[in-house]
Parts: sequence; C-alpha cells; structure tokens
Amino acid sequence: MTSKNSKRAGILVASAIAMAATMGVAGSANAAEMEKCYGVTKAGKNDCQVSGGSCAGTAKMDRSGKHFVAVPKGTCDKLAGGTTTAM
Amino acid sequence: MSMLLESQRAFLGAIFSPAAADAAAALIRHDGIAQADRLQIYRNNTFILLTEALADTFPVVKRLVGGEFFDAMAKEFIVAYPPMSPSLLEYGGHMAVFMETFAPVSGLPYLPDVARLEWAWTKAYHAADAEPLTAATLADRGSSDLGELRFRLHPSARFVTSDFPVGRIWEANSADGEPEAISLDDGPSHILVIRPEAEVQVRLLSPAAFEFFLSLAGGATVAEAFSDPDFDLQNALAVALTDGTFSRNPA
Repeated sequence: MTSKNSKRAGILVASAIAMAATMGVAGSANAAEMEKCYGVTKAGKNDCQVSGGSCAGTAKMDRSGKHFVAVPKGTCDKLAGGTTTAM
Repeated sequence: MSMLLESQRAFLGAIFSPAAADAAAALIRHDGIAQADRLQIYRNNTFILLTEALADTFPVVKRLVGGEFFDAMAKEFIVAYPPMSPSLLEYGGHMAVFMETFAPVSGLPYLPDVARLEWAWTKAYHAADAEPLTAATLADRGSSDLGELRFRLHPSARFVTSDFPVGRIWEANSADGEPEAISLDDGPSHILVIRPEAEVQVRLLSPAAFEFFLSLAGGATVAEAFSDPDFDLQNALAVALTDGTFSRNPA
C-alpha cells in the first residue's frame, strides 16, 4: 500500500536523511561532557531533605487561609492583558 | 483496622486540617510543650518542605506572581491536593487544575498553562534516557518505503499547547530570562518539551510541525502524519535527526 502520499513522504525522508548527514549531529559533541549525574536532583527535591526553615517550626502559622487577600506582585504585570488585581 | 494505621491517619488528618487536631490529641504528649504547639511543629515543617518543592518545580510561576503570593497559593494548594506519592518528584501535577478554579489568579488566564509547561519540564527532566536516532542509522536501513517509517519520539517528549504565548512568557521569566512586555494577544503556543541528553529543551514549534510530531508520537507513519502539504517535512525531519528528537527504534 504505497500510496502517492507515501511515495512523496518517502522521497522527503530520503532528502532529510541526506540533509541531516551534512548538518552533523549537534548532540554528539556535547554528549560526553554533559553526562547526566544520576541521583542528583534539583535542589529542594531531595526526599530526605530537612527544611532549612525547620527551626522556625515552633512559630505559629498564619491560619487565615480563608481570607486570601494577597495579589500577584511578580513579573506578571509586564504582560499586557494580565491583570494583577483580583476580580 | 490496626491501631498503627488508625493513629497514622488521625495524625495525618491533624496535619492537613487543624479542625481535625482533636482526633490526634490522644497521641501527643504535652509535658513542657503544649499538644497544639507540638503538632504545629510538624504542620509547619510539612508545609514549608512541600512549598519549597513546589517552588522548585514552578520557578516561572513563582517569578510571575511573586514569592509572597506564591507561598500563600502553595499553602492553599497543599491543603487541596496533599501529596499522594512518597516521592516529592511526583508532587505538583495538579497545579494547573488547581489554578483554574483558584479565584486570586483568575486575572492571569495564562498561568495554568505556564504551570503545565513547567510540569512537562519536570517530567521530561526525570524521564528515561534513550539513544538518539541519527541519520547514519537510518541510512543503513536502506531507502525502501521510507514513507512508511514509524519514528519513536524520545521518552522525555511532552507536548504542551496554549491559547496564550506561554512559550515566550516562560522564556522571558525563566532563571536567565529578562522579563519583557508580552501581549497575551500574540497568539497560541505549540511547544515540545524534550530532554535528548542532559538538558531539558523547550522548543516552540509551528502549528504544522506540532501536529506532525504529535501524530508521530501517536504511532502514525511519516506518510500518515504528513497531512499538511505546506509543511516543510524535509527540513523538520533533518533537524529532528540531528537534535535527538527521536530515539533509536528497536522495532
């Protein structure tokens, strides 16, 4: 079932293979130097981590979760159409 | 039910819901430090640790809304979606869904999609490694029926779409990005998140290229995926064969 589309696609794949061969493999050059460090996770993702904030653990947490009044104060105000005011 | 399991459930309930603290009171001694204060130490550490894990997974969201807001939002998220896995790497997958009904961010309609992109980044980061498929390997296969090839995408590949330019928003607000003015009317995003080697890449694709790779990921042949005659198949495939988009197909 080699349809017309399949033939055309096949020709383009062949061209792509030839083209890729001239482009060189971008990944192979840095493959050696970018060896993945197994077992190293992003900071904060270590499951055994004890939080650095644990000394503050006896402090009472603010429990006013039901009265969430904070508004975003980050870089979102750079985005046109992104409002920083609650509804 | 075993006594231990019962005790653990009561304690867990007391951590995530202060209203349920009474059920755990019998488990806690109160010499020197009051029961409620002892419980609060556990509660604080649980929330601080989980908040730090979320901040680590969603750094762009945090930058967009600011640290103070993020921490307050994280607290609400943790109560709504407490961790179900013992691994922190698995925590945060519901952030986008949570945001969709979280009124304080309703003015930032793109934010759930930014969270989806960051979650895709984390999943790609921890996905399996794979040997990339190169042009040389394909050349060895011979030239018959190339249109019937089924390419296998690298196991880290994740697809993200958005009605908003979240790819550019992500770039501008990631760690080494410079926050810039971006109009939300700049159109939709078609993103492939992939980690061919050690570093996660966030690739912004054309709609045609996105559909093509999505079809391949779904198991289509090249010919089946090649539905848009204006799509530059040759160039897209040539690039994919040099940047590790595909893994070496054992079949």
